[in-house]
Amino acid sequence: MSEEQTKKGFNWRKWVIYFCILAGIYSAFLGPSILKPISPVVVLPAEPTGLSIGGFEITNTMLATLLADLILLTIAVFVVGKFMRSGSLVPGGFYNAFEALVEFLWNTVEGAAGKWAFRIFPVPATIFLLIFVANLVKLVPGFESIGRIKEVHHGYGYAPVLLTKVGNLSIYTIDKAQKREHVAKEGEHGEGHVDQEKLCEACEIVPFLRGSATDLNFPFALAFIAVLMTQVYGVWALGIGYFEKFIPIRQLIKGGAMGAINFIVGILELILEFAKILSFGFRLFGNIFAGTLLLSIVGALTAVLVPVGLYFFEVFFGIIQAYVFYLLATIFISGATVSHHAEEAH
Amino acid sequence: MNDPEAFVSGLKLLGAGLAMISAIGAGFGVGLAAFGGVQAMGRNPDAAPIIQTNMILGMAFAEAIAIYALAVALIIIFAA
Amino acid sequence: MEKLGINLGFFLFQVFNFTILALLMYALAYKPIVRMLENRKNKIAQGLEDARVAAEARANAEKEAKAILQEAQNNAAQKVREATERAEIAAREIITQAEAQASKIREEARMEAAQERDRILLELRSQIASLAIAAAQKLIGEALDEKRQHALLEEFFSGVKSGKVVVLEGVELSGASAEVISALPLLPHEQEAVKRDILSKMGEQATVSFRVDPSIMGGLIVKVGDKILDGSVVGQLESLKQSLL
Repeated sequence: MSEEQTKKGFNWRKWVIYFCILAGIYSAFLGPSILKPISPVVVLPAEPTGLSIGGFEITNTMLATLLADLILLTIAVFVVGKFMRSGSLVPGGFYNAFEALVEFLWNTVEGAAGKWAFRIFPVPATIFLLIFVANLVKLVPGFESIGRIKEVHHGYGYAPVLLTKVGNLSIYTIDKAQKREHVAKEGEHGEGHVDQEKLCEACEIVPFLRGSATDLNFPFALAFIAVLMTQVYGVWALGIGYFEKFIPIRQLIKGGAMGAINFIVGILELILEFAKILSFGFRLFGNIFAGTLLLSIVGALTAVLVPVGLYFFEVFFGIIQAYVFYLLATIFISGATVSHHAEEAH
Repeated sequence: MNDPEAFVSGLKLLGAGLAMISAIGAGFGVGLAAFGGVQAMGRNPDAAPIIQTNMILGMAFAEAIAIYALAVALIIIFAA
Repeated sequence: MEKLGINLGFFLFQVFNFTILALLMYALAYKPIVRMLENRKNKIAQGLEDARVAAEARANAEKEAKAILQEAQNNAAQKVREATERAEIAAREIITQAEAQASKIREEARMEAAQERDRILLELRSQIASLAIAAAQKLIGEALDEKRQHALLEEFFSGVKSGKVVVLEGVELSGASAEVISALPLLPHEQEAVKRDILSKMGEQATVSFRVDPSIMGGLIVKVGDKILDGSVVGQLESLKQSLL
């Protein structure tokens, strides 16, 4: 009976998959004729979504970060919490997958940090999970494509086209064929002149959600935390003596030429610590931003088939970047808990 | 020469492109690290986790060069 | 910086967001999961240890069982061997007894047969004497008087002449036992005479046995120890033959 049911379910699923493939092919060939693919505007700063809390405006990358937070907390509360409340020892289902991921992270941290592992673990693990979820959720269709339509401030825009109307909400797209130059109007910067009735002439789309890592604030914040926590754990483990790594005064006093060289090396290490923030941040940002750019440009050139391969590529890169960020943070933090002198001793 | 702004922005793009030449070195570095790492893992599969960690560390340092170049290029285009 | 999108407010928002998330995840996910992992690892180690102990116990039990079985087999084999041996001994004993009995029976039968023959020979003796006399009469053509003839025959058969054993005359004998062989069974009074004669020579303590052997034809042979006094007809004929040749 159950076998028959699964068979039936399988058949049903198979037909859904066939339908999806057919619909995909249909829209892939007919879609570009209706909706012209648009090469995107390259913007570095996150765009405001129009929402604000107490005068603090919320950007679209913030919204995406909050969405990633929400997903992680949902997993933590509803999946992990439910399993923990069940009191079972045998994991199953989605919890098992999540636990396998956490176990993998835990094993790496434990291998690198030893007895400090449990104290260190929350920082790199949260870094990994947040980047992981943010990078993957960024690839969901609708991200970076659905947003408000507005007048460009400078450069070129496109003419708006009415797509469909749901209630009193009009849904527009922009027509690539009708390229329009921005005309500086009088009173553009004025208040209350924002035309509600009359639509923009040269338009661009400001997405509601944009990949967190495509905003420099997100990777730099994580990099800053990673480097800051390296110092915090270093001081926690070694006391104030940790800072001798950067300013080796004792060595300068003790040994002549070698001491001086070590002093300079220590200063270099201090500089390197700030360089770490830069390299951490730009690595993640560069990879993800380049990926987004690549996807949208290739999508604008050929809407069929090629973006699929690039999507796989992007999924892979999203995971790899999360892993690299996590691994480097783990290595730096666990390295800080080990005494510099102890290494020299043997 | 009749539009100095366009000339300057063109030079900016050129400079950004030139800055990214350093990616060659970073690419070599990352490739060398992967080469050495994979070879070492092939010789000694038991030590694979340690080698992998160090390989990724080395790759990260090599990659940092390209990242600095990217930062410079971005600053040239957007901020300079 | 503004053009790169770096904004202190946004940056601090991200830092704050991360801190909150890390704390919440630590409380809600990492701590329980890591504890669960440790817990499970301990449980598995415990289970493996238990399994190992159980396996050891089972191995011990198996070894003991094997030893017990071995002992039982050994015992059984021992019992079988003993039983076989006992049976063999019994069988041998029975066979020996049977053989002994058989040989006894055979001996008895032989003795009986010898006695029977002796008896028959004794019965025949007078007839043989008469036959011999008749033959002699025919041969020599004259008849000796009856009494003389009988005495002669008696003497021939018994080797006893007027109460004395012929062979023993003028012979010194010494020994513990003597055997007297005659061609025909001796009559009681002859036996008596022979016995007396022998005993007078050897002393009262000696024993005398009698045997019948028709092949010596007549007379007596007396064996004392390794000394043989041959008074038989065959012996006399033999010595005659020796002297003639």
